[in-house]
Amino acid sequence: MAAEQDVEVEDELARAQKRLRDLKSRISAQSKKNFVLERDVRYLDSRIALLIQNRMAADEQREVAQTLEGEVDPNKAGGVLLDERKMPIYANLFFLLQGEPRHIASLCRMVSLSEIDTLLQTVMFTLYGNQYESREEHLLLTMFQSVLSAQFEMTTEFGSLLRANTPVSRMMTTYTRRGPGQTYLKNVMADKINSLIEHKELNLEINPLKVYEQMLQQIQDDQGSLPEGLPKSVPPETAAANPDVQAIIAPRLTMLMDIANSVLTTIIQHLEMVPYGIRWICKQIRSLTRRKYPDVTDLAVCSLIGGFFFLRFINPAIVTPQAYMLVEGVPAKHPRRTLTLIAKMLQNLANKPTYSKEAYMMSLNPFVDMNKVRINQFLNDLCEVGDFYDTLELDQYMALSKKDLSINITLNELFNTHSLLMQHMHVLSPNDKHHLHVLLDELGSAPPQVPRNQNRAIDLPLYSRWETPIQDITTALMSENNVTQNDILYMETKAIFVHIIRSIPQLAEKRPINLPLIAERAATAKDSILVRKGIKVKEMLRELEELGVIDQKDDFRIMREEVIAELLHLGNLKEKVVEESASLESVYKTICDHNAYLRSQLEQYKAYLQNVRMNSGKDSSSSGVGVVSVGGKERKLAKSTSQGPYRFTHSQFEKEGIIVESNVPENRQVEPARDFASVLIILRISVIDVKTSTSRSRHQYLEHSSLRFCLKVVKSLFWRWISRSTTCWSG
Amino acid sequence: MRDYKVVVLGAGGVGKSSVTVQFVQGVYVESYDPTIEDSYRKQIEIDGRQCDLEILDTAGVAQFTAMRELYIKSGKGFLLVYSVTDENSLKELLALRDQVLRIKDLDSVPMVLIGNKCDLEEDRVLSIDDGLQVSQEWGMVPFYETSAMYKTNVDEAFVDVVRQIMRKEAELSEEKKQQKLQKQAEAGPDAPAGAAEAEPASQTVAEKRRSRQRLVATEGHKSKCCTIM
Repeated sequence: MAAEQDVEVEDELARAQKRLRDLKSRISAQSKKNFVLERDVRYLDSRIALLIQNRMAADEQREVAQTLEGEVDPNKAGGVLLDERKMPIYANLFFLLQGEPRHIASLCRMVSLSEIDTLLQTVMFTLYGNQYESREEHLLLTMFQSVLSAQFEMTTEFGSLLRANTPVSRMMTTYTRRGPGQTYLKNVMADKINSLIEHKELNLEINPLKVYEQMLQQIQDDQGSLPEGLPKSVPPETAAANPDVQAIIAPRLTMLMDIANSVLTTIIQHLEMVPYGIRWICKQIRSLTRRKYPDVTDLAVCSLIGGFFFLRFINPAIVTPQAYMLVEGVPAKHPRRTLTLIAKMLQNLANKPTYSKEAYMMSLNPFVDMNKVRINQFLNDLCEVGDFYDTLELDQYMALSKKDLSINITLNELFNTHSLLMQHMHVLSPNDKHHLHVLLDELGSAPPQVPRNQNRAIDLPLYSRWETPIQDITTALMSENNVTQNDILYMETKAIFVHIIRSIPQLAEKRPINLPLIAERAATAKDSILVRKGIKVKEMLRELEELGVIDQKDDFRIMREEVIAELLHLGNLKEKVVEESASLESVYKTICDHNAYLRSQLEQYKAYLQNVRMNSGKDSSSSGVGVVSVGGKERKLAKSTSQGPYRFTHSQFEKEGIIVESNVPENRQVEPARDFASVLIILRISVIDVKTSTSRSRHQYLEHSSLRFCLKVVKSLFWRWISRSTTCWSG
Repeated sequence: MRDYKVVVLGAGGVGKSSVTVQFVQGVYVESYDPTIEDSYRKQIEIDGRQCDLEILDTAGVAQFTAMRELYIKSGKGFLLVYSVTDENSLKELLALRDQVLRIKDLDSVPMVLIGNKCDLEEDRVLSIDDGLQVSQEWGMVPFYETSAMYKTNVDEAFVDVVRQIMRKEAELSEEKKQQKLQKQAEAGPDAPAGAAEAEPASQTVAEKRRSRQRLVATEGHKSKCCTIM
């Protein structure tokens, strides 16, 4: 009976999710499109960087040209490199990988850091790319859990937990880049950051040395000379002791603390908007820490959670909001410094270091003192979300009944994953009867990566040739080489207790709950399923105690507390789904916005790379504009460039406001822009500048005479450069 | 007195801040406090000249890499730090150095390679030779194994990079002087804007530097630390 009730609860959940399916599939499709676009933008970005270096090889140039030719035609017969006979095997393989996250989890621990980015991209955006599908999300989180506990197992001291750049930290980063994380940043942080960077002239520097220098500069600008007794260079202590400096800094400190306070308040108020997965990861960090290091203080646990939430998720977005599409363009110098200081304050608050590396940061300690309690509360609240193991089991059932399970994967992703699996097959699946082993044997060695223009995406249907038993968490996670069996045992025990109590609610009425008693009651119940569970869980409890994970002396305190917490959360599971439907609308909008942004970016790149090609083409047919001129064309040429050539220096451009930020190496800034490298940089900068102002008055800006002027100059220099370099291109 | 902007780069948790704070304040910071961006000043005398060092200690956490470009642009000299206990931290430096050279658009930039935590003999996974090999691949970039804890080779590494900046600046001003002379000599009526290329000149500079570098390996006293200057 009880089991049926359970299914009913989940059914309601499933119905709610069904209603969302439409929206979800739209979001996922869009998300995938964005990912492809993003890759293209990144690709062109890196090519342009090479172009700037004048180091682009001829064949690479052709490759870029092909990229510009437009999207790869998926129906092009020429590019078929995939052996059609292998398709069913790949279908089996990826079904296995998706349904049993333990394989990928082990793989993540074995591959090198240079390989992991590609692997994680495939895992997070393709294998589990359906970001708003609970089954895929939960399987991904299960994989996360496995890698995370392995990391805890390997780390010998508490102090170095989750610190260095490891597979886990890469996973955390990639995970926060999935749709929900980005939407959170946009919804919660964007307004705050935007209102800050509006004040371009607001200088909140509090480093006494910098303030001192800025003050001297100001005096010199005002009076033309420096008064006696103010040496140009002083030690930090002297600068800090200067009364004028102190007078400048004091109000800034107050203002910084006000801003940081309001940022913190915003974050705390929007606790419920933090994506479930991110909160669940926080919860895992807390739970693993408490189990592995029972003596560690609550404060230290909080600093670990803060290390993930603030250091790897919130602060990067505050420091470089442009990289997260929260603002348009790079913030100006002063706001940028303010944002950095705010991030540093939040970091100090979350981490509470015992030593202040920069002395002046100590003046901001009141902020830390004031918010200590608040932040610890918040970090603990973050962890208060329910597990998903029950849902996952049901989702797995549903996945079995679904006939249309498929992923959209590119050939290179397919081959890369295949090749990584082959490399580590002996560890992943030593037994040659094992399904993974069988499939890899049949596939043979992985095909090499294909050139970009042949790297098409295919729809790979997923299905299994074997009858798939429904997996409980143990099978999903456990593998022969797993080092985290204790954790899995613990998780499963907890899940069974939760299940029992939900079946017989009166068991939990008396607090504190008595775990052995509950197991006993279940074992003697009328329901045969419950009896089996009761007997099983009794055995598991004993095993866990033997392993030293839990202790009967304190009545299994850790387990007790977590079971209770779980029960509390289960109540609002359905609520969350309803909330989800509301927030998904805004998710969809964010993703569409991002798509538009990426498209415009791509268009810009295409436009000026197209220009490069056009002009290089012209040159070879001798109709080029530039140094090489033949016969009568010379006059015509002179006419067309009658307004040039002009020579501009870097600083002139800077003065004109055409260069906002620049890549031009300093040793070249002094000379007039004279080669294509600098020209292209300037061109890039102007384009970016135009872009940032599009929202206001693109036309007006384009009318700006100095820009038009500049573009003309750029053009003439550009052509000259092209004509000089045709020889190397055609060769 | 001249300003020298030095930037400390490297992967997360390799000890960039520990090395920096040990150099600037003579303190060993034991607790781990991930850096977002810290800046320090220190005045030191090098070869009889007073130098004002501005040291920028950067984030190793991968999420903050978007800030790197700005740091590199503003820096004159670079300390590239890895940990001898973390194989990947050395690998990450390869890409970092490329980024520095690309942004600076030069063949050589004042730089030292630092293998930190050389006191942790038990946890060591990278040998002195591993560091040496990278230093050679980079065209004999000076290589130091350091211990922030015992302040082994810390000052030496910083002084080295400042010396390199000094040398570079001396070379640059010399180059400029010569260019000026050359220009005066051949001041043609319409020298095209893009004609002169700095490439050949900087190449000879790099060659000159290479020939001047020598290899000196010294065994540290307490720990087995290696110095290549």
